[in-house]
Amino acid sequence: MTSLFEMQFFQNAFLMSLMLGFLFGLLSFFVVLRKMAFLGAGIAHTAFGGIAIGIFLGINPFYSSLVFCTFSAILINRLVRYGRISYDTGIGIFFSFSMALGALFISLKKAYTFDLKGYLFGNILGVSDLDILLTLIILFIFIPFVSSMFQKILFMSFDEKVAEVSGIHTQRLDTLLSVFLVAIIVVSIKIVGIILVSALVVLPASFGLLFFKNYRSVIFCSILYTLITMMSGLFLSYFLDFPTGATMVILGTILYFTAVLVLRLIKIK
Amino acid sequence: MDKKLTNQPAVALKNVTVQFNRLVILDRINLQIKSKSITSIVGPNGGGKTTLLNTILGITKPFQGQVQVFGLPPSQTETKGIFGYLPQGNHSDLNFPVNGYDVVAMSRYSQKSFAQKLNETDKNIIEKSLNTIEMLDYCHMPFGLLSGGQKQRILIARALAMEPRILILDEPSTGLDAVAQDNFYCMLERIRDNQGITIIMVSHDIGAVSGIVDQIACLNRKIHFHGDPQKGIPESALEAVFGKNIQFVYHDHRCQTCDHFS
Repeated sequence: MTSLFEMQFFQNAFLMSLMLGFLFGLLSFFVVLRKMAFLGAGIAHTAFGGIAIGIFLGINPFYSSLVFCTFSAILINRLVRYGRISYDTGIGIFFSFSMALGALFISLKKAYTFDLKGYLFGNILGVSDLDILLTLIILFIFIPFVSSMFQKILFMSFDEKVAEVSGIHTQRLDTLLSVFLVAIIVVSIKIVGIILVSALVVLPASFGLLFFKNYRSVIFCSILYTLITMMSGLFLSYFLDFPTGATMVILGTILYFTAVLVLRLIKIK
Repeated sequence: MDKKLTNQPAVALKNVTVQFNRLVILDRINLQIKSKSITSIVGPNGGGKTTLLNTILGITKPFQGQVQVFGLPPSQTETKGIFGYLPQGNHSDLNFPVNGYDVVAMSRYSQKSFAQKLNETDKNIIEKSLNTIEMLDYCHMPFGLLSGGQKQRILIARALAMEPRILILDEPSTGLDAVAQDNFYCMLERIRDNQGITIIMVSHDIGAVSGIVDQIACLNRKIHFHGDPQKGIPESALEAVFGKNIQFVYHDHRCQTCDHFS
């Protein structure tokens, strides 16, 4: 066990999972209550286009996908607000377009050996020191943001129109929340993977909502669940040599459905 | 100066037209709503009632004409806590993890700046609002588990806790049974008399509200009648709004139990 932590890559993966556990546990609460789950899935897939652009231009894929996804999220938001398309239509069109764009850019860069599987399903070896630093920065901005704006986001999620009438700048808050969603998803892609990250956006708060009816307990439970899932997924994937993201998501899903089943059985009795 | 303020109408619409995709929803509306009165807007489905409320609230911008709330356009009033608002529709998200108290507290937080907490005054206002609608005993129950009428009352308490000067209620009696409706209308009268709040509400049921409101406005794209319902609404106006061959049952809201139906 001690030798495990002497390895730099594992240290990084461990630290990353710890920070992401907090971030996803908290983020999930707002995503689920604001019914932004599909936006989460959409953004993760859009990141594929952003990563491919980065590789094509020879820049760090993190920056290119961050810019590309933020731009996409804001564009989707505007299209829905001012256009005549629904949220899921907008996201549906956008994310397949970005995936196609990604496939095109990668095929143009034939000589490049690209760890496609790693980006899609997560790779324990993928976390660099820079990724740790970036996640730490996000953590230090996101937590004060949430704790100071919590009640306003709660109001907006509960009843957007009334929140706006009572003087909350809902559109600004919504955009900020989308930007955080993008940043957290993009930074987690290396370890969890594009396809699987949407599970971490939805599962934690849904798990908390199974047990509790007040927001403090839901958030606490959600963070705890994410930490347990990510940590055990990390160790298991190392020892069994499974893709990290896949292990985390399978564990999390099993845990969720076990809880559903147990609660059902208790209720029947 | 003070006298001028009290004489000023709470809401004044001058020649207001609203259209969506060139379809005229509100057609040259002129309406003045007196301060500290209860006004009900009645009319058929699709008659523009909710649009009229949205125009007063500043959510919908008129195509032409002028809206004034205490002499100012709505864009300048929204952050000053003039409106308390109860939208139409029911809350179907039963899993939203808040209790009644949390819902009412939201309206106090919305007035706070960055990271400010509630103080004693806020807590008193929340309790007073819950007390007004007689929900103090139930406010710690999860919101999703409350009945339709109880939810509605909590949402009205939230509107009251904003300490509004104008309370805007869109079909507030939805989901309330006959007795609860009577109690609800008595409560509105108390709010008007004790707190001096102007109340504007939308209703389908002209008979139920005509006993308590000060003014009634019959709306079907245009305002066909605006005045005191006790003095009688001209039949031509009712026909223009609701069509022919329609009967109205007038209720007396003071009667608590109805022994017979006639």
